[in-house]
Amino acid sequence: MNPPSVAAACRLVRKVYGRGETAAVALDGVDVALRSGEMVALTGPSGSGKSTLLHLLGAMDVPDAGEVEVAGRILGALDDEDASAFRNRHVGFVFQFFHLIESLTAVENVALPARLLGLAEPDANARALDLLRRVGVAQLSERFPDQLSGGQRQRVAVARALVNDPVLVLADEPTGNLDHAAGGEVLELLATLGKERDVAILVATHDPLVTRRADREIRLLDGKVVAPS
Amino acid sequence: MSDARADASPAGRRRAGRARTRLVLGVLLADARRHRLVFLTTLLGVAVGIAVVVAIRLSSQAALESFRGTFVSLTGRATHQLTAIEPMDPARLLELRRAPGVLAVDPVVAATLVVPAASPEAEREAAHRIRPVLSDARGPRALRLVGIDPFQAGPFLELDAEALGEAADGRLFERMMCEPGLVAADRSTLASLGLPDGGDLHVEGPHGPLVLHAVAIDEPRLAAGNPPFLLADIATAQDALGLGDRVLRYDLVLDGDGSDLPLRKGERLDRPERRGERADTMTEAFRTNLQCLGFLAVLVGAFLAFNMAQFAVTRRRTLLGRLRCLGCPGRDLVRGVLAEAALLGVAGGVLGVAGGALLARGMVADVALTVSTLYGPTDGVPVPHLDAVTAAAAIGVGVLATVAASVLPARAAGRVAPIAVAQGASRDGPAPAWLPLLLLALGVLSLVPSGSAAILPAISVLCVLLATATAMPRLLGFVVRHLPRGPVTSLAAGRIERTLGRTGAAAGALVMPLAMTVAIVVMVDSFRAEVSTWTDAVLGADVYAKPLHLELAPETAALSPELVAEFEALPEVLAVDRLRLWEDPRRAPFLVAGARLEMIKRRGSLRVLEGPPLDVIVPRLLDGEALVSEPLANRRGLHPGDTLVLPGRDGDAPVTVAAVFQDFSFDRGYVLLSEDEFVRRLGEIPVRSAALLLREGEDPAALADALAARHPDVEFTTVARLRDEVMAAFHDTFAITWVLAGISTALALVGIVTALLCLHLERRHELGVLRALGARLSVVLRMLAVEAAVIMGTAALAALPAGLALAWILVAVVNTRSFGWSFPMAVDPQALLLLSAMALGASLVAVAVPWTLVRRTPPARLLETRR
Ligand SMILES: Nc1ncnc2c1ncn2[C@@H]1O[C@H](COP(=O)(O)OP(=O)(O)O)[C@@H](O)[C@H]1O
Ligand SMILES: [Mg+2]
Repeated sequence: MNPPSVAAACRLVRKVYGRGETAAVALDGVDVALRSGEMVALTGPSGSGKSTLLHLLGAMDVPDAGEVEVAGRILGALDDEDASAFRNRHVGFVFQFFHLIESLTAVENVALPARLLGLAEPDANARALDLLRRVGVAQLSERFPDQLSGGQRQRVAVARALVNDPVLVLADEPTGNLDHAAGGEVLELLATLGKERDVAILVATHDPLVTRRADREIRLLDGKVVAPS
Repeated sequence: MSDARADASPAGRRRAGRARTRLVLGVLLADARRHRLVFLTTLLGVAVGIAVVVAIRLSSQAALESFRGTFVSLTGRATHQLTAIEPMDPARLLELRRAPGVLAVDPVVAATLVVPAASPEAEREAAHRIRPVLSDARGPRALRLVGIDPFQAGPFLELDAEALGEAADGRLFERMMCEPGLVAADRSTLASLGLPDGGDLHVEGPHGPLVLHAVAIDEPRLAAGNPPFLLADIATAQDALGLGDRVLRYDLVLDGDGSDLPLRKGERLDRPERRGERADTMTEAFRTNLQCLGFLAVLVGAFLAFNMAQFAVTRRRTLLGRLRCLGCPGRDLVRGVLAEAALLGVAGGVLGVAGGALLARGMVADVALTVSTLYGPTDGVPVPHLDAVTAAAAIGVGVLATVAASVLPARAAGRVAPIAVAQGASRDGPAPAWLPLLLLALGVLSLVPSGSAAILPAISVLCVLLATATAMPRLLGFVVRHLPRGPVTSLAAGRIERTLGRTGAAAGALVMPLAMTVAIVVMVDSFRAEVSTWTDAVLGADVYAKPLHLELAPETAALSPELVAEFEALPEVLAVDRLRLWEDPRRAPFLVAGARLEMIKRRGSLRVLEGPPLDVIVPRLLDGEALVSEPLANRRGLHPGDTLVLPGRDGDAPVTVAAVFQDFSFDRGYVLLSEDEFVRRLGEIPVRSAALLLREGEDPAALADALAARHPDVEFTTVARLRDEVMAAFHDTFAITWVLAGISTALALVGIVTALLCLHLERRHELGVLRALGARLSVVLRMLAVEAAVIMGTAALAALPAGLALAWILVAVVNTRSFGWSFPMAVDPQALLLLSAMALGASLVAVAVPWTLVRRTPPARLLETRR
């Protein structure tokens, strides 16, 4: 087996929201690197900059200083077109509030990134069904999000994050809205599927369960990386 | 949880309820502050709707008020007026004074004079304007000369007689009697003529130019007429009008109802009209139509306000649900929401009133143009004034619309189980399916009674509009279900489907003016086509002659017998047709015209709608029968062979209707007699205009130019030019129609754009999710475009049949019933083009606004708006 390669890295990244008096420094010189196949817990008190870091890694926002590199590409240099294509192809998101498209069925939700990538509907649906089977909700594939429980929705969201075989999955408090059991199951799925597909997974979390299950922990405090407690 | 409350006193419970309501209101207002853009959009929607309501009311009020000035008279305390077809004998004064029951008599001579324009250029310019619809300071001006007997006038003048007596060095009446040619006018009238302190006034009388000496006094009532009044001694007026010692009217104060007053043949005794009464009768049809159009704008405006208020509630169902979770009873929640809606209504109403007052200033010129084209010159462009009643009513409409709009969604939110709302689903459904069907049935039913009431067809129009609007959610749902499935289309479809109630309501607000525009375009086009063929058919002469100031002074402007004789002697001329017109000076049910029938005889220029062929009609007319124009025939239910009573100098006498003919020149309608019959009945009333039929090969334009050079006080027009004039006047008649249709369309566009913007702001996070999944901006754009295309396309498709149905109602019902004109409906593809252009424009804006917002917002920020 090849030595695990670096999937994503931040170098001296700084992000400031607002200007002047009301400016809030969300990230202040952050250096992190994620290797393929590892699951990293990103911890820290609320407001410490976890979500901001996730957004930068996912090309959802641009840093004010420093460099973000994912899958060998410097993200700051991407225009919107490329950033979109990049997210679609290489990054998967899992959110605390699931953020499924309410008007689409579970399978359509999962197939959506694949269709955006250009896959024909049958191919995309086949892939989606496959993943839904893997996350254990294949029998619910024709249901709409509001007909699913929280745990089921998050499984669908995990499937959606993986459908285009990304190098990086970014999960923002994925268990935050779930009970202990459901949260554990979703986490387990993320970990197994990530290892299996050699995906780097960064999970922003408060949940000690996540920290325990993760390969390692990165702790943020006031926008800076500190030693895990 | 109600245990604690159960043992409180009722008053205490009410107090607690009020406190909770205030709390809810506070939370809602805080939310409004957080979502300033949505709130301002909502406010704008309400305000624009109200502004239109206000603008229409103010501008039509002002225009009609200025027209009403035409019928202001100085009748004062007169209980009756005695008039005859021809000027009356001065000896009647003594007879009348001696008659039983007569308390006072005043002889009156009143007629309109024209002050020619200051320069020949201005005169020509005014004549070149298609019609002197709005008299202005530079063009020729009309003045109403009123001659009274100062000794008798005391009880009659609606003026302060003592103040008048004191004017002009305290000797006004004295000087009026002693100095021939002395007239008094309000200072403002004279100032507008460039004579602020009085002086020589050059006017055009019925027998040529003359000079009057004007004295300025301060009596605003003299300036209130349209045209303004010149007060003179009766002898001065008789002189100026060439009446000798004859009198046009006797104002009387009678003891009883006057039934025992002995009348001579041809005399009529009437009660003087109340101020504006006649103007109101004349403009009734116009006002009804204006009101209907205004009501359409009100409807769209209220619908918009309704929409916006509904949005405000639906958008915040999650918030309301959380309040429910925290233990707020549904009742207090509903009250808080309604309180907020009322605030929105008041704020939008105040803004709307201010905006409407401004808008009215812009619109009033068009309203005045329509009024004066239809009924006669108004004096300049009137100025609209905002009155307290209008302002209060407008704010009332605003509050009513917003509160009514909020009741249902607020109650729904109040009833929903807290847990369901807390999950944040914000689905809303379409209106019940029976509603549009019920409205449609109502619309059809209100067409059934065929009385002349204009209100029923208007109700029908409104029902069809509302039926189409309320059917929109279901129509949209249908279209969305049948869209081809692709990732982009299904996303767009899903977005529409989940907010069908609100998207559908927004589309409904759009479909109303779209349909109305289609209807108006089709109606006006059909009308224009008919008027155009009618003009071709009836303009049978080659050159037309009329006095230069005919429109300004219709009673006194005439062609002299010498001039008509000169026309007849011209070598180029084959025949001259001449028209005499008589209009009842008190009530104006119709006009009576007398003509030589040369155009009909030689060129066949008459379109008979009902009756025998022309070669049968002409001899009958010469035998004393009459032609009746369509509006009159419709109003009175007249058919060939019926009789109609006409006033005459020997008293009222019936006339037999030979045929009904098509005419678009007078909406009150007219009766056409042969000249001999006309003179027999009404006397030698001067020739109003003449039509010259030229011999084969003569050049009408050359003759018109030559005649114009010789007679500067007569306007000569070739048939080609006259045709253009008729069509231009036709166009002017619809000036306000277009403005109103335009405004309600603009309003609907604002509505649909704000509605879609609100929906967009509410669902912004969804775009954030899409962007997180890697959807490029172009995908988002495509989705927004599909969404807009589906909404607008459905609205346009629905507007087409609805518009055609409305056009049919306007053409076949409204026009025949309120104007008496009938014409076939002709659909011009232009209407379809216009419709597509409007829908396309709306789509572009509806896409552009959210698109700009999305493009400027980093994807991460889009997601954050979720919670
Ligand atoms: N859009 C924004 N505008 C202003 N400040 C923001 C914005 N988003 C985040 N912040 C600020 O940046 C800091 C980090 O936020 P975030 O990354 O969301 O933290 P976490 O996810 O760890 O709770 C916080 O202080 C927060 O207030
Ligand atoms: Mg966070």
